[in-house]
Amino acid sequence: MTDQVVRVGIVEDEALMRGMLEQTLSAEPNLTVVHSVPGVTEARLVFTPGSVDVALLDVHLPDGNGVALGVQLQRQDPQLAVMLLSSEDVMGLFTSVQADAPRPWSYLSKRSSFARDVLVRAVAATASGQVVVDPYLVQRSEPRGGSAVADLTPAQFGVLRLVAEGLSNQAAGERLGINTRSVESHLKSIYQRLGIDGDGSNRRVAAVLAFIEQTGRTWRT
Amino acid sequence: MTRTRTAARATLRPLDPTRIGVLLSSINVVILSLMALAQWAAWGGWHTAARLAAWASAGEALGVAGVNLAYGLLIVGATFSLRPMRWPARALYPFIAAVALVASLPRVGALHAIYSTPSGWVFLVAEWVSGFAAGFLAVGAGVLTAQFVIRARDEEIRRLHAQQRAARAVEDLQTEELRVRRMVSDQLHGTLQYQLVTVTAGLDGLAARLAAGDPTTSAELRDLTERLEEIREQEVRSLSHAVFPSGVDLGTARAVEQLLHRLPPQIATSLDVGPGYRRLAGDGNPLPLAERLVVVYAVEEGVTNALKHGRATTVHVAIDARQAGDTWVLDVDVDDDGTGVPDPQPAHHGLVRHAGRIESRGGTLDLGPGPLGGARLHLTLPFDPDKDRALGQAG
Repeated sequence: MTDQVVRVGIVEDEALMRGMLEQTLSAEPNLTVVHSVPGVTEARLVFTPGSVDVALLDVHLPDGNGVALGVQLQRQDPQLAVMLLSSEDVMGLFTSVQADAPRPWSYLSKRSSFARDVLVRAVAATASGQVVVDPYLVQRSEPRGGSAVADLTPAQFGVLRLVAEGLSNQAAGERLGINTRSVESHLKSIYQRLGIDGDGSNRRVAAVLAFIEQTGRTWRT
Repeated sequence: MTRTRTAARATLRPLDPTRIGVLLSSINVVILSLMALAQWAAWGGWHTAARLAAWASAGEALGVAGVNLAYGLLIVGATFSLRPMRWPARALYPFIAAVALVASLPRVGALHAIYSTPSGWVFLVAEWVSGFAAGFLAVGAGVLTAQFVIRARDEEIRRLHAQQRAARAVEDLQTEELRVRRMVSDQLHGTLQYQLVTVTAGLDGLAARLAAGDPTTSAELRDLTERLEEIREQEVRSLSHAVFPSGVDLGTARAVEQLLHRLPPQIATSLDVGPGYRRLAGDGNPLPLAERLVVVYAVEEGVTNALKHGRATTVHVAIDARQAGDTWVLDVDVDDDGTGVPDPQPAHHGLVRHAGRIESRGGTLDLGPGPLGGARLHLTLPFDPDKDRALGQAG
């Protein structure tokens, strides 16, 4: 996590939601909201390269789509981190976007963004280059049949879930009641089973992307 | 219903090229031989025959006309026996010339046999050459005219079909709008309201127990919020999806990927996006929005059928685009490992509806056995990648 103040730009069409995000994030000492606009047109005008660290983008906007906007903004400013906000589960969309985006995105459901600590943690983690997936959807996720993630042991899958939520190894260990070294050893096996190599943070991101791609959620009908 | 309507309207049939060719060439040949006879009469033949009462020369003139007619019909018969109308011009016309060249030899022979015909070599060669030229021109011109006539008819049929398709598309659009309106209304009035009513009743009960100081209420409250979340995610989303599928504004492949991702985790899914589609897509979105909707809804129907009727556990979708002449065609395969296509094939109303919409746009939709052991839904749809760009809607 960076020591500098993280500059956040918000694109959200519902005024109440926008106000809530502004208020919550501005109250944090290490976060500042530099832009807060209701649509794609305004965002294109004010999100100049270098002016924002994290863009919080609603998926459904009256004059366009937050996903397309994010790809465009990030191409102009490859340093920009993007976090999608959506009321419905758009994990599928989010998966294919990752392939086109210059740097991986995070995704939070609107429901979770009402929880102050979840929102703040997700924005901060996204700013520092991590991929964070909505904790509510992560907890509902099950490995997809026939995928590599389905071959993980339940303990490994449990660790991967928390990493996908954006938790550090230490925080994940505390949540699971195991020590940090066990989390690290689980992660090693996870990387191996998912065929991920490379260095530390890239591996972590790759594991989260595999989690997003190879899981699904069940809803009662 | 759609098919009968089409059959009733399609009154124009394509012409048989051979019949039209034979007809027009024969007319030319008959005119040519009658003209030769008329020429004989006009150039003094008739006058001389009448004055000298030399009726034998009139008989000879009729004989010459008969030989010319037989010669012409011989070329027509020999030419069209091989049904050469669809041959390329560089093969067709040399062929007619060759037939005329051969057939004009017996013609010279027959003319020579007629009593008062001159018999010098120069005359014979001149007659052979002019007969060949006349025969070739008569049949060649007939063939050329026939091709113009056939092309005009083909063009007319094509225009008529395009008109019929457009009319059918408008009708389908209206039917579809009504169907979606009814579905949205049914779901709003039925499922959604009922679910909300049960949650509200639950909340009322909890409020009463909270007031009475019951400590077990917090778990139930959490369960109710969970139910509200499910209602939002399932019911509200499915309504919104029926009106406009999630991700469709980002492209066909992305919308299909989102669709597959939403399937229960027990189902193994995969999506192949072919090089043709990738190349064409580049940064933008090659399929116009209307075609994108047609494809996404048809794929969804295919996947739903595979899971519901075929009890499939694996679904694989492949999308690619290819150029066909001056248009583009999207190819989509939906394969599953279910129980396959039942025999006899039941009328899957949903699929029939999608087939109608795809066919009215010049595409195809087929259901058959697939490589994964279950069914394969194959759809093709022609599209114009520049349509939305021209309208400023490409995304």
